[in-house]
Amino acid sequence: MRYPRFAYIPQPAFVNQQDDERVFIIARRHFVDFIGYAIIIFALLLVPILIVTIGYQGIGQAIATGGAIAYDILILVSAVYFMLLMVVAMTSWVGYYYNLLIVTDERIIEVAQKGFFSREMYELAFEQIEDVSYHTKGFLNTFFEVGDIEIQTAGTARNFYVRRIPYPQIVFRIIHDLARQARSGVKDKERMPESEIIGLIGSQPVLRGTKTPAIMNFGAGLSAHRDEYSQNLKRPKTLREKFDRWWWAHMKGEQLIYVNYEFEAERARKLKEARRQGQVSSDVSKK
Amino acid sequence: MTAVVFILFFIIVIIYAIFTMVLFYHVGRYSFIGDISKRVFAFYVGTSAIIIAVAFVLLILNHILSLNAIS
Repeated sequence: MRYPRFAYIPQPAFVNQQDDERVFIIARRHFVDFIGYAIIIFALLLVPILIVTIGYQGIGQAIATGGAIAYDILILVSAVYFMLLMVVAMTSWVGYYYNLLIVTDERIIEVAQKGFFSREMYELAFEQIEDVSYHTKGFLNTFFEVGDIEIQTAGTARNFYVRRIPYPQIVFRIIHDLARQARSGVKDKERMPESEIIGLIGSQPVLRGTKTPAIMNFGAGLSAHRDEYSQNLKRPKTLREKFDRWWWAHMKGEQLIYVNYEFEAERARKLKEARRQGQVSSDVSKK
Repeated sequence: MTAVVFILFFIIVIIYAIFTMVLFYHVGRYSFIGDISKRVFAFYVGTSAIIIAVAFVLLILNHILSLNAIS
Protein backbone atom coordinates (compact mmCIF):
# COMPACT_ATOMS: atom_id res chain seq x y z
CA MET A 1 0.00 0.00 0.00
CA ARG A 2 1.43 3.37 -0.95
CA TYR A 3 -0.03 6.69 0.13
CA PRO A 4 0.38 9.91 -1.85
CA ARG A 5 3.77 11.55 -1.34
CA PHE A 6 2.36 14.42 0.77
CA ALA A 7 1.21 11.90 3.39
CA TYR A 8 4.78 11.08 4.42
CA ILE A 9 5.79 14.67 5.15
CA PRO A 10 4.79 15.90 8.61
CA GLN A 11 2.78 19.02 7.90
CA PRO A 12 -0.46 20.54 9.13
CA ALA A 13 -3.47 19.19 7.25
CA PHE A 14 -5.24 22.54 7.57
CA VAL A 15 -4.48 26.01 8.85
CA ASN A 16 -5.57 25.89 12.49
CA GLN A 17 -4.81 22.25 13.28
CA GLN A 18 -4.03 21.63 16.97
CA ASP A 19 -0.62 20.24 17.82
CA ASP A 20 -1.98 16.86 18.93
CA GLU A 21 -5.04 16.66 16.66
CA ARG A 22 -5.04 13.34 14.82
CA VAL A 23 -6.30 13.19 11.26
CA PHE A 24 -8.31 10.22 9.99
CA ILE A 25 -9.42 11.36 6.55
CA ILE A 26 -7.95 13.69 3.97
CA ALA A 27 -9.98 13.18 0.82
CA ARG A 28 -10.06 15.17 -2.36
CA ARG A 29 -12.77 14.82 -4.94
CA HIS A 30 -12.29 11.79 -7.14
CA PHE A 31 -10.95 12.27 -10.68
CA VAL A 32 -14.40 11.28 -11.99
CA ASP A 33 -15.45 14.80 -11.04
CA PHE A 34 -12.91 16.25 -13.46
CA ILE A 35 -13.56 13.89 -16.40
CA GLY A 36 -16.32 16.12 -17.86
CA TYR A 37 -14.01 19.16 -17.86
CA ALA A 38 -11.13 17.10 -19.26
CA ILE A 39 -13.27 15.94 -22.21
CA ILE A 40 -14.47 19.50 -22.95
CA ILE A 41 -10.90 20.87 -22.80
CA PHE A 42 -9.64 18.11 -25.09
CA ALA A 43 -12.50 18.78 -27.56
CA LEU A 44 -11.69 22.53 -27.51
CA LEU A 45 -8.07 21.66 -28.24
CA LEU A 46 -9.20 19.96 -31.45
CA VAL A 47 -11.40 22.87 -32.62
CA PRO A 48 -8.57 24.85 -34.36
CA ILE A 49 -7.48 21.71 -36.22
CA LEU A 50 -11.06 21.19 -37.41
CA ILE A 51 -11.42 24.84 -38.43
CA VAL A 52 -8.16 24.74 -40.40
CA THR A 53 -9.10 21.43 -42.05
CA ILE A 54 -12.63 22.46 -42.99
CA GLY A 55 -12.06 26.12 -43.80
CA TYR A 56 -8.63 25.70 -45.40
CA GLN A 57 -9.56 27.40 -48.68
CA GLY A 58 -11.39 30.29 -47.03
CA ILE A 59 -8.47 30.99 -44.67
CA GLY A 60 -6.03 30.80 -47.61
CA GLN A 61 -8.07 33.34 -49.58
CA ALA A 62 -8.35 35.68 -46.60
CA ILE A 63 -4.59 35.59 -46.10
CA ALA A 64 -3.97 36.13 -49.83
CA THR A 65 -6.18 39.24 -49.79
CA GLY A 66 -5.22 40.54 -46.36
CA GLY A 67 -1.46 39.95 -46.63
CA ALA A 68 0.80 40.37 -43.60
CA ILE A 69 -1.93 41.87 -41.39
CA ALA A 70 -4.14 38.83 -41.93
CA TYR A 71 -1.24 36.63 -40.82
CA ASP A 72 -0.73 38.79 -37.71
CA ILE A 73 -4.41 38.57 -36.80
CA LEU A 74 -4.37 34.81 -37.36
CA ILE A 75 -1.34 34.40 -35.07
CA LEU A 76 -2.85 36.65 -32.38
CA VAL A 77 -6.24 34.93 -32.45
CA SER A 78 -4.61 31.48 -32.25
CA ALA A 79 -2.38 32.52 -29.33
CA VAL A 80 -5.31 34.08 -27.44
CA TYR A 81 -7.42 30.98 -28.08
CA PHE A 82 -4.80 28.64 -26.62
CA MET A 83 -4.15 30.98 -23.68
CA LEU A 84 -7.86 31.11 -22.93
CA LEU A 85 -7.95 27.33 -23.12
CA MET A 86 -5.16 27.16 -20.53
CA VAL A 87 -7.07 29.60 -18.31
CA VAL A 88 -10.23 27.49 -18.56
CA ALA A 89 -8.25 24.30 -17.88
CA MET A 90 -6.47 25.70 -14.83
CA THR A 91 -9.62 27.34 -13.41
CA SER A 92 -11.53 24.07 -13.61
CA TRP A 93 -8.53 22.18 -12.18
CA VAL A 94 -8.28 24.53 -9.18
CA GLY A 95 -12.04 24.17 -8.63
CA TYR A 96 -11.65 20.41 -8.65
CA TYR A 97 -8.36 19.85 -6.84
CA TYR A 98 -8.61 22.23 -3.89
CA ASN A 99 -11.85 20.81 -2.53
CA LEU A 100 -11.10 18.84 0.59
CA LEU A 101 -12.80 16.79 3.23
CA ILE A 102 -10.77 16.46 6.43
CA VAL A 103 -11.88 14.39 9.39
CA THR A 104 -9.93 14.65 12.64
CA ASP A 105 -10.62 13.31 16.12
CA GLU A 106 -12.30 16.61 17.02
CA ARG A 107 -14.13 17.83 13.95
CA ILE A 108 -14.99 17.59 10.29
CA ILE A 109 -13.70 20.25 7.94
CA GLU A 110 -14.94 20.88 4.44
CA VAL A 111 -12.97 23.16 2.16
CA ALA A 112 -15.06 24.25 -0.81
CA GLN A 113 -13.18 25.90 -3.65
CA LYS A 114 -15.32 27.43 -6.38
CA GLY A 115 -13.18 28.77 -9.19
CA PHE A 116 -10.34 31.12 -8.28
CA PHE A 117 -11.96 33.71 -6.09
CA SER A 118 -14.24 31.77 -3.79
CA ARG A 119 -12.91 29.52 -1.05
CA GLU A 120 -15.01 28.54 1.93
CA MET A 121 -14.05 26.47 4.95
CA TYR A 122 -16.74 24.90 7.11
CA GLU A 123 -16.18 23.17 10.41
CA LEU A 124 -18.39 20.81 12.35
CA ALA A 125 -17.88 19.23 15.78
CA PHE A 126 -18.86 15.56 16.07
CA GLU A 127 -21.28 16.37 18.88
CA GLN A 128 -23.40 18.37 16.41
CA ILE A 129 -23.90 15.50 13.97
CA GLU A 130 -27.43 14.14 13.80
CA ASP A 131 -27.27 11.78 10.87
CA VAL A 132 -24.76 10.61 8.23
CA SER A 133 -25.56 9.01 4.89
CA TYR A 134 -23.90 8.33 1.55
CA HIS A 135 -25.19 8.00 -1.99
CA THR A 136 -23.63 6.43 -5.05
CA LYS A 137 -25.47 7.04 -8.30
CA GLY A 138 -24.54 6.51 -11.93
CA PHE A 139 -22.32 4.10 -13.84
CA LEU A 140 -18.97 5.91 -13.43
CA ASN A 141 -19.52 6.52 -9.72
CA THR A 142 -20.40 2.88 -9.11
CA PHE A 143 -17.49 1.65 -11.22
CA PHE A 144 -14.90 3.83 -9.46
CA GLU A 145 -16.50 3.57 -5.99
CA VAL A 146 -17.27 7.26 -5.74
CA GLY A 147 -20.16 8.86 -3.88
CA ASP A 148 -21.58 11.82 -2.01
CA ILE A 149 -21.58 12.15 1.76
CA GLU A 150 -24.42 13.94 3.50
CA ILE A 151 -24.11 15.01 7.13
CA GLN A 152 -27.17 16.43 8.82
CA THR A 153 -26.59 18.58 11.85
CA ALA A 154 -28.53 19.42 14.94
CA GLY A 155 -29.76 22.93 15.50
CA THR A 156 -28.82 25.79 13.23
CA ALA A 157 -25.47 24.39 12.07
CA ARG A 158 -25.07 24.07 8.33
CA ASN A 159 -25.61 20.63 6.78
CA PHE A 160 -22.64 19.14 4.97
CA TYR A 161 -22.93 17.72 1.48
CA VAL A 162 -19.58 16.59 0.08
CA ARG A 163 -19.59 15.45 -3.53
CA ARG A 164 -17.65 12.77 -5.39
CA ILE A 165 -15.57 11.39 -2.53
CA PRO A 166 -13.65 8.13 -3.10
CA TYR A 167 -14.82 5.12 -1.04
CA PRO A 168 -17.87 6.82 0.51
CA GLN A 169 -18.70 3.70 2.51
CA ILE A 170 -15.37 4.00 4.37
CA VAL A 171 -15.84 7.72 4.99
CA PHE A 172 -19.41 7.09 6.15
CA ARG A 173 -18.32 4.36 8.57
CA ILE A 174 -15.51 6.42 10.09
CA ILE A 175 -17.67 9.53 10.59
CA HIS A 176 -20.49 7.40 11.94
CA ASP A 177 -18.20 5.72 14.52
CA LEU A 178 -16.59 8.98 15.64
CA ALA A 179 -19.94 10.76 15.95
CA ARG A 180 -21.40 7.91 17.99
CA GLN A 181 -18.40 7.95 20.32
CA ALA A 182 -18.64 11.72 20.69
CA ARG A 183 -22.34 11.47 21.59
CA SER A 184 -21.61 8.83 24.23
CA GLY A 185 -19.02 11.12 25.86
CA VAL A 186 -15.73 9.62 24.68
CA LYS A 187 -12.99 12.29 24.86
CA ASP A 188 -11.61 13.44 21.50
CA LYS A 189 -8.12 12.01 22.07
CA GLU A 190 -9.61 8.56 22.80
CA ARG A 191 -11.86 8.40 19.76
CA MET A 192 -11.00 5.82 17.13
CA PRO A 193 -12.92 4.28 14.22
CA GLU A 194 -14.04 0.76 15.10
CA SER A 195 -13.71 -0.89 11.70
CA GLU A 196 -10.60 -2.48 10.21
CA ILE A 197 -10.05 0.65 8.12
CA ILE A 198 -9.22 3.58 10.37
CA GLY A 199 -8.55 6.25 7.79
CA LEU A 200 -8.46 7.42 4.19
CA ILE A 201 -5.52 9.45 2.90
CA GLY A 202 -5.86 10.63 -0.68
CA SER A 203 -7.78 7.65 -2.00
CA GLN A 204 -5.77 5.12 -0.02
CA PRO A 205 -7.43 3.34 2.95
CA VAL A 206 -5.38 3.08 6.14
CA LEU A 207 -5.66 -0.35 7.73
CA ARG A 208 -5.68 -0.96 11.45
CA GLY A 209 -2.33 -2.20 12.71
CA THR A 210 -0.27 -0.70 9.89
CA LYS A 211 2.08 2.22 10.30
CA THR A 212 0.20 5.46 9.79
CA PRO A 213 1.68 8.13 7.50
CA ALA A 214 3.10 11.26 9.13
CA ILE A 215 0.30 13.57 8.04
CA MET A 216 -2.17 11.63 10.24
CA ASN A 217 -0.25 13.01 13.24
CA PHE A 218 -0.57 9.88 15.38
CA GLY A 219 2.89 10.35 16.87
CA ALA A 220 4.23 12.92 19.25
CA GLY A 221 2.47 15.93 17.73
CA LEU A 222 3.19 18.36 14.92
CA SER A 223 5.85 20.45 16.67
CA ALA A 224 7.76 17.35 17.84
CA HIS A 225 7.63 15.94 14.30
CA ARG A 226 8.93 19.21 12.93
CA ASP A 227 11.77 19.38 15.46
CA GLU A 228 12.77 15.79 14.74
CA TYR A 229 12.52 16.35 11.02
CA SER A 230 14.59 19.50 11.05
CA GLN A 231 17.49 17.96 12.96
CA ASN A 232 20.76 17.87 11.07
CA LEU A 233 19.22 20.15 8.49
CA LYS A 234 21.73 21.00 5.78
CA ARG A 235 21.78 24.01 3.54
CA PRO A 236 20.07 23.29 0.22
CA LYS A 237 22.67 22.64 -2.45
CA THR A 238 21.06 21.97 -5.82
CA LEU A 239 18.89 24.46 -7.67
CA ARG A 240 15.86 22.24 -7.08
CA GLU A 241 16.52 22.16 -3.33
CA LYS A 242 16.98 25.91 -3.21
CA PHE A 243 13.77 26.49 -5.13
CA ASP A 244 11.84 24.08 -2.87
CA ARG A 245 13.12 25.79 0.27
CA TRP A 246 12.21 29.19 -1.10
CA TRP A 247 8.76 28.01 -2.22
CA TRP A 248 7.90 26.36 1.07
CA ALA A 249 9.36 29.06 3.29
CA HIS A 250 7.69 31.95 1.48
CA MET A 251 4.44 30.49 0.28
CA LYS A 252 3.44 28.51 3.33
CA GLY A 253 3.65 31.39 5.78
CA GLU A 254 2.72 30.23 9.25
CA GLN A 255 2.67 26.62 8.11
CA LEU A 256 6.45 26.75 7.71
CA ILE A 257 7.85 23.28 7.31
CA TYR A 258 11.47 22.21 7.36
CA VAL A 259 12.37 19.55 4.87
CA ASN A 260 15.31 17.31 5.46
CA TYR A 261 16.58 16.42 2.01
CA GLU A 262 18.75 13.56 3.25
CA PHE A 263 15.69 12.04 4.93
CA GLU A 264 13.75 12.40 1.67
CA ALA A 265 16.58 10.90 -0.38
CA GLU A 266 16.88 7.94 2.01
CA ARG A 267 13.12 7.35 1.88
CA ALA A 268 13.12 7.46 -1.93
CA ARG A 269 16.04 5.01 -2.05
CA LYS A 270 14.28 2.54 0.28
CA LEU A 271 11.04 2.81 -1.71
CA LYS A 272 12.89 2.12 -4.93
CA GLU A 273 14.64 -0.87 -3.38
CA ALA A 274 11.36 -2.27 -2.02
CA ARG A 275 9.64 -1.87 -5.38
CA ARG A 276 12.48 -3.66 -7.11
CA GLN A 277 12.06 -6.56 -4.70
CA GLY A 278 8.26 -6.46 -5.08
CA GLN A 279 7.63 -5.82 -1.39
CA VAL A 280 4.84 -3.80 0.17
CA SER A 281 6.30 -0.35 0.48
CA SER A 282 4.35 1.33 3.28
CA ASP A 283 6.60 0.18 6.12
CA VAL A 284 9.90 1.05 4.54
CA SER A 285 8.70 4.46 3.51
CA LYS A 286 8.83 5.63 7.10
CA LYS A 287 12.00 6.40 8.90
CA MET B 1 0.18 48.52 -37.96
CA THR B 2 2.89 46.09 -36.89
CA ALA B 3 3.51 48.18 -33.76
CA VAL B 4 -0.20 47.95 -32.88
CA VAL B 5 -0.08 44.16 -33.24
CA PHE B 6 2.98 43.91 -30.98
CA ILE B 7 1.48 46.23 -28.35
CA LEU B 8 -1.73 44.17 -28.42
CA PHE B 9 0.31 41.01 -28.02
CA PHE B 10 2.18 42.37 -24.99
CA ILE B 11 -1.06 43.56 -23.36
CA ILE B 12 -2.46 40.04 -23.77
CA VAL B 13 0.71 38.55 -22.29
CA ILE B 14 0.57 40.91 -19.29
CA ILE B 15 -3.07 39.98 -18.58
CA TYR B 16 -2.06 36.34 -18.84
CA ALA B 17 0.85 36.91 -16.45
CA ILE B 18 -1.55 38.42 -13.89
CA PHE B 19 -3.71 35.30 -14.13
CA THR B 20 -0.57 33.19 -13.69
CA MET B 21 0.31 35.08 -10.50
CA VAL B 22 -3.16 34.40 -9.08
CA LEU B 23 -2.67 30.73 -9.89
CA PHE B 24 0.78 30.80 -8.29
CA TYR B 25 -0.75 32.20 -5.11
CA HIS B 26 -3.37 29.42 -5.00
CA VAL B 27 -0.89 26.65 -5.64
CA GLY B 28 1.55 27.96 -3.07
CA ARG B 29 -0.98 28.75 -0.37
CA TYR B 30 -3.48 25.91 -0.52
CA SER B 31 -1.48 22.86 -1.61
CA PHE B 32 0.11 20.21 0.57
CA ILE B 33 3.86 19.87 0.38
CA GLY B 34 4.39 16.91 -1.89
CA ASP B 35 1.10 16.86 -3.80
CA ILE B 36 0.85 17.33 -7.57
CA SER B 37 0.04 21.07 -7.49
CA LYS B 38 3.56 22.24 -8.13
CA ARG B 39 4.03 19.81 -11.02
CA VAL B 40 0.73 20.92 -12.61
CA PHE B 41 1.81 24.54 -12.21
CA ALA B 42 5.18 23.77 -13.82
CA PHE B 43 3.38 22.09 -16.74
CA TYR B 44 1.09 25.11 -17.08
CA VAL B 45 3.99 27.57 -17.06
CA GLY B 46 5.96 25.45 -19.55
CA THR B 47 3.05 25.14 -21.98
CA SER B 48 2.20 28.83 -21.66
CA ALA B 49 5.81 29.80 -22.33
CA ILE B 50 5.82 27.65 -25.48
CA ILE B 51 2.56 29.22 -26.73
CA ILE B 52 3.81 32.77 -26.10
CA ALA B 53 7.25 32.09 -27.57
CA VAL B 54 5.87 30.46 -30.74
CA ALA B 55 3.39 33.30 -31.27
CA PHE B 56 6.13 35.89 -30.72
CA VAL B 57 8.55 34.18 -33.13
CA LEU B 58 5.81 33.86 -35.78
CA LEU B 59 4.95 37.56 -35.44
CA ILE B 60 8.61 38.54 -35.85
CA LEU B 61 9.04 36.20 -38.84
CA ASN B 62 5.92 37.61 -40.45
CA HIS B 63 7.20 41.13 -39.87
CA ILE B 64 10.63 40.32 -41.41
CA LEU B 65 9.07 38.51 -44.39
CA SER B 66 6.63 41.36 -45.06
CA LEU B 67 9.53 43.89 -44.92
CA ASN B 68 11.45 41.78 -47.45
CA ALA B 69 8.37 41.58 -49.68
CA ILE B 70 8.00 45.39 -49.64
CA SER B 71 11.66 46.03 -50.45
